Amino acid sequence: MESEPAAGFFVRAKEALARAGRAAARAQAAALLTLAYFLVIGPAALLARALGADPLSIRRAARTGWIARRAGPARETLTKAG
Amino acid sequence: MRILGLSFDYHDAAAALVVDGVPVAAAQEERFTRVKHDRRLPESAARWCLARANLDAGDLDAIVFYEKPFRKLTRILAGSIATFPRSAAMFRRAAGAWLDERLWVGPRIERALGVPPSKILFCEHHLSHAASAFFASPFDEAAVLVVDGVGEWATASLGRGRRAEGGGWELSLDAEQRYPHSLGLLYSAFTAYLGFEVNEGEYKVMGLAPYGRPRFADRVRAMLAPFGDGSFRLDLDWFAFHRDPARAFAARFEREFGPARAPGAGDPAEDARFCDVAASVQLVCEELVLAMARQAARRAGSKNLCLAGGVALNATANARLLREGGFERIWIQPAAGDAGGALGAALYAAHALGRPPRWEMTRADLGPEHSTAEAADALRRAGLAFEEMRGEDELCSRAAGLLAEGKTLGWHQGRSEWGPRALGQRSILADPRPAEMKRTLNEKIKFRELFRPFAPSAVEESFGELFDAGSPVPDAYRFMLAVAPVREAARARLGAAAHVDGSARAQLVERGRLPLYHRLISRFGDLTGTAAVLNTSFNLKGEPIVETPEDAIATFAASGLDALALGPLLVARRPSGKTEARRRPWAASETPSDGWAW
Ligand SMILES: [Fe+2]
Repeated sequence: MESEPAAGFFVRAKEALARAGRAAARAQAAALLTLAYFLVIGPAALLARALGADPLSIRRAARTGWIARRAGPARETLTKAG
Repeated sequence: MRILGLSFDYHDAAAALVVDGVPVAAAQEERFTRVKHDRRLPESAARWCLARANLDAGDLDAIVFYEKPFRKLTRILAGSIATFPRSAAMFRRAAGAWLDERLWVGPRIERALGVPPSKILFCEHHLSHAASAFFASPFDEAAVLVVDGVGEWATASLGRGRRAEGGGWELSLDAEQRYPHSLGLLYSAFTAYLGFEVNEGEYKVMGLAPYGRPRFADRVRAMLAPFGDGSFRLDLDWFAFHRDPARAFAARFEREFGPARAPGAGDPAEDARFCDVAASVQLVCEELVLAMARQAARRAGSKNLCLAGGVALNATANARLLREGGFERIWIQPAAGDAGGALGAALYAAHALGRPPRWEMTRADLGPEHSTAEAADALRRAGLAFEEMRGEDELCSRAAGLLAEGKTLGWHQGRSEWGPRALGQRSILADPRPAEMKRTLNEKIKFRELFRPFAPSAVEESFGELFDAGSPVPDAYRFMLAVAPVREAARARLGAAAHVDGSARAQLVERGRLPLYHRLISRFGDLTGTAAVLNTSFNLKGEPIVETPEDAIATFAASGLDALALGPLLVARRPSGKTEARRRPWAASETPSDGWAW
């Protein structure tokens, strides 16, 4: 009878610890990804701008938005994930 | 050759099994897990597909994923680079999701189904959509148009399908428009602005449009600068979907159209401004779909059109295509959204790896079925009194009688439907004549917005008398993919089915294709003089359509449905003491859909 609240306490403590662990992991992942954003995407963006790249076709003047596609042989193109 | 197609990780995960070119089983994961729009790897659906055909995963020749994950990743990285430094939050969310699971599609499939990597293939997103239309259509040659939000890079594609020189058939996409210039994403941005859930509420925008005047159409056209050939370039000042994981539209929307509608705010049909915005984006969407289809036809030199991609579920745009597109015949994949990619990927691979015969999708019921014994067991466990009908004649007579008395009926018959529409296998049916039936269905069962009408199903013998269907070959009406005007003389007989503009998303029911459903509606016609019923999907708001007899019974118990038919077993009335509709919490629907552009 007496052990129940105590057991409950330990279960709750364990859950709280696990929650804190997950939150810390999330925060760490977010920090790492933010770092990657500024250290990898940032320089890439500066380089792309310096080279005048327009990956989203925002600036490029054109008469049509249709882009011709080249299709490889159906069987071979299926094997690649990219 | 046995090929399993899979789509997952975005929304509406699904599996489809194609044996020697013929789809023998296809279903969405949500129907098994009961999580609406479940996007996880569809293990349950895949295992059911295999069991249905008495196969093991080891018997498969290939498993085909419906897109190219690495190509999609390059688009997301390019987007992050182009919008630096405003895309930090977007990058964090996307990179997290990719590192967690999306990069490992192949290994995850291997692990889940126990197949070697050499059997796992990847079909481009738009090729999957295109194949789901062309390889299921009746055509020897056709123009192909795919329009959706975005796959890898493509947001719209033009192509053709035809008989190949050496035998078999070939399908190719010859031109594409690329992200972020997307009709689907434009429509979704308006869906979010109007306070509906993206990837779910697009129907509501379409349903709201007839209440308004398209007085903002010029402003919508200005935000996408059309080139006149169906292609266009979005002015990204208006949008946030390309740089913000939580927002679809930028502040400029509210400056030009006024404050956005809060999700869950009151009836949008009572606010003329929101109706006008919906009418405007719907009109421009129709114009673009028409222009794209004409471009596809011109390039392919064909009078036939195959259509797929999420935008192909816009039944009002499809109706204009049927009338004004200049095509002889149009075939649209009923599962035009990304779930349908599972079927398309499998069909594409079947035709690329082998030379199977052509197959035409004439019915949508590719899902699981459940025996009468199972249904009887489930009814007994639930303590519901039922009668077993002696044959279809008695079933249809009794069911039609209940409908004619104004009762609402849960109709659970045969194999479940492929695609988002209930077409008479997992349907809630009612009398379409009294306008109040709309309110009754909403208050007792569906709990959905009152401004949306319910769709009617009519038998082929009276379809033309009730609706001005126009098109010579009514493929789209078989799968409820186009609206049609209700004829003036029939308005009074379809009080609950006609929208405010006098249109209805009518289903054509043919004796040769859906004999049981045809018989039921005919019997209702004998009793009432109107051979049509209201047909809405058998589910509560926010839940997936029911799959098993247990699901149907749970929905019957939790709603105010009057009667239930599970195969030949009829529950003709609600048990006393359980007559109150209990509105179930719909937790799953309240989680916003994730990752719609990344
Ligand atoms: Fe798609």
